[in-house]
Amino acid sequence: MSESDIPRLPAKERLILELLAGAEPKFGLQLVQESDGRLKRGTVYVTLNRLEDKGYVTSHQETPVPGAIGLPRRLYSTTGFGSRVLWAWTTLAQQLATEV
Amino acid sequence: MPGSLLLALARLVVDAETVNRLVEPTIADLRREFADSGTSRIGRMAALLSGYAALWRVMGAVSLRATLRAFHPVEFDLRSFVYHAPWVPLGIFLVVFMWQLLAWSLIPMALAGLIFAATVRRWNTRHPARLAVPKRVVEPASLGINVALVPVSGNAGGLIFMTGSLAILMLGLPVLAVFLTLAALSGVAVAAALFAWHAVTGHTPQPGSPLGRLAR
Repeated sequence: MSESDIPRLPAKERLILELLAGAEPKFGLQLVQESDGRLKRGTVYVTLNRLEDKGYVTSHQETPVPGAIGLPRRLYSTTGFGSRVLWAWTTLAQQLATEV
Repeated sequence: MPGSLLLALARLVVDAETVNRLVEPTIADLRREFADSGTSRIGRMAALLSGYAALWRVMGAVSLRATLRAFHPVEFDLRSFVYHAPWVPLGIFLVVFMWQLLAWSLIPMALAGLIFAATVRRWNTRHPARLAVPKRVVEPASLGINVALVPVSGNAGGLIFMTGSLAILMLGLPVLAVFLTLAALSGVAVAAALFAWHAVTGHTPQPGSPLGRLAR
């Protein structure tokens, strides 16, 4: 595996994966609200889009409720690959913290 | 500005996948938060403002990404680079320079310009002008809302172009309102005189001539 093939996980992407891990699918605004100000509304979907391109998350539109106005929201959840990447990074961080 | 109009504007500027994955979810959040904000006027206004701010940040990020892609070493495309490269410094220069001249008038001008550009682009998509246009660096599908590249002729498209241009100038330079109105009226008078002259003499302009292009 070359260096460019190693999955990378910047802080914001890791935070999103942590918020999504083991939970029901969530939409962008929900992630912003749960992040205590660490995620911004203007960038959350850009980051989610990047995560989807990397294969860490998957998304689908919510089922439209009869009579509801507006567009259906997009719900995000982690993929198996995303969960493994998060687990690997968390394990690595814990081991580094122990050694330091 | 209603969500449907924002969505229509976004569809003119960016590709369908980006609209689907970035713009639509942001608008959906905006609408849902507005609906959930209750009856408090302040709460509803706060929901709208934060939603709009988020949407414009998304649009900014999308535009920036499209521009940066032109400079990407792997995805580098000479035609795209030639088209995008000058816009970055030119855009920064224009905003800084024009702000010195127009200050806050620049904002209504920019909004009017955006609406005008989207209108003329939409009209042109539905009624393509049959004007002879110079060979372009970009494909027609990539025109976006660059008014300078959208061809219009002597029909409703031309009328949209003229009224839109006048509206932008009058918003930014109200002192020119009288001059611009007189100029527009003079233009209409000259056009009417030309139509009348053609009707009386039965003269048909040659297809390749400047008058022929106007008459199409």
